[in-house]
Amino acid sequence: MRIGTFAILVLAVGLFQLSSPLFAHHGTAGYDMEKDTVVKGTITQFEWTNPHGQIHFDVADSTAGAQAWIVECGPPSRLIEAGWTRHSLSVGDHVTLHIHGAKNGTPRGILIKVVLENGQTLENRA
Amino acid sequence: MSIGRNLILRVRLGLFNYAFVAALAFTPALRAQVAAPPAAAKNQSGDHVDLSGVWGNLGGSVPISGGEQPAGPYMLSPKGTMKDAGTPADGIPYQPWAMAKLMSERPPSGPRATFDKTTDPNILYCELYGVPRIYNSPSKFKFVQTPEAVYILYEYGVVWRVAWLNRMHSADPDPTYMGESIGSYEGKDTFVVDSIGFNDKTWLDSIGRPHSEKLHVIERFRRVNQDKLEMTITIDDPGAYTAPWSYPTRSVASAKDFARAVWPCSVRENNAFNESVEEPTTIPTKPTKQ
Repeated sequence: MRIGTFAILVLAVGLFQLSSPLFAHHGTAGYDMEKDTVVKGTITQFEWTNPHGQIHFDVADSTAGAQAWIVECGPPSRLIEAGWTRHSLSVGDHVTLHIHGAKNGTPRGILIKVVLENGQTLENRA
Repeated sequence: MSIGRNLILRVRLGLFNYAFVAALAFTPALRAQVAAPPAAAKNQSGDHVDLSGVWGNLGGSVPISGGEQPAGPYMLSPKGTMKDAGTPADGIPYQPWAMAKLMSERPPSGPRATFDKTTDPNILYCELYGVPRIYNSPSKFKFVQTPEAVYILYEYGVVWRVAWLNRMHSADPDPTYMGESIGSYEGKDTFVVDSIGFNDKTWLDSIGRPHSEKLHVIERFRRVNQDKLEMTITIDDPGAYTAPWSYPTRSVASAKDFARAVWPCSVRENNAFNESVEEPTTIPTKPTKQ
């Protein structure tokens, strides 16, 4: 995984958070919870499952083709409190994801919120 | 026991759990509690607290307005801090073996949190959270009050326990994950659950604090008003700690939509999540090419 390539895809990095409302029962040890990252991608799969939902998406990469990401979100029991359904994300949707990315630069992270093409925002409840 | 028979038993236990919760959900008493709560907390019997409603777990399920509710307070040190939680400086009177056990764990939360090769018995085996760790889950819980007992239903697990009223603890209860609980009302606003009879397989919280089979947990629930339930949890375990201690008192907010989507624990789902999401983040960062 080339972090230099990733840097091109990341639209905004470094928005500092004093505290995060996200609490995953599996923890957040692998993520940089003090940095918000914004990534645009195309949904390839949405897993509405326990212990945490998973959003699979591709990020366009001009040099290496599509980069496959997986970002965790809350379980169904939490997401429905924030207005999600299992149909909230569909394959092919173009979305903007606000995440805390993996500390080691791999294309993983925990969702803060996702903005759909129609402008609707879905907040994560982890 | 064969794997097949084991699976059948697990399915039966799971179905029993769902059936129990479903049966409670359709009793007239519970239907009354599911209905919209009144403007002020009422006292059903006139002499004890009414715990009806749905309550957010302390793991971050339902934020309380004003930002007074930090995530996962039942992992904090008694001082209310996280940075020293689960260390010799956190103010908890660990016995030496308990501190050594804690340091040997690889928890998902706290200052020593890791995604790498966790030893968390719930993530690894879906063993029940136990008490008080069940309140670390970011989900909700509910009381069902009857004349002879108060049932506490938890979305995560899916788990329920019973706090018997008007009786004493057994002389020598069998050790179990959730223990044996006796409930009592104090004044007009407080319900106390006194529990013993735990096995030593569970963690007290999600940073991995251990306990022995001598664990004695006291949960105090004080209904501050219609929308707020204050919780104080005291740990009295002479097998692991040199003195009783308490987690910092915190409040949980009233919530809604109880059990709209329950959260059964699945080793298969935990493993899949770990492989696809967590494990890749544990690979050491490679130097980037310039």
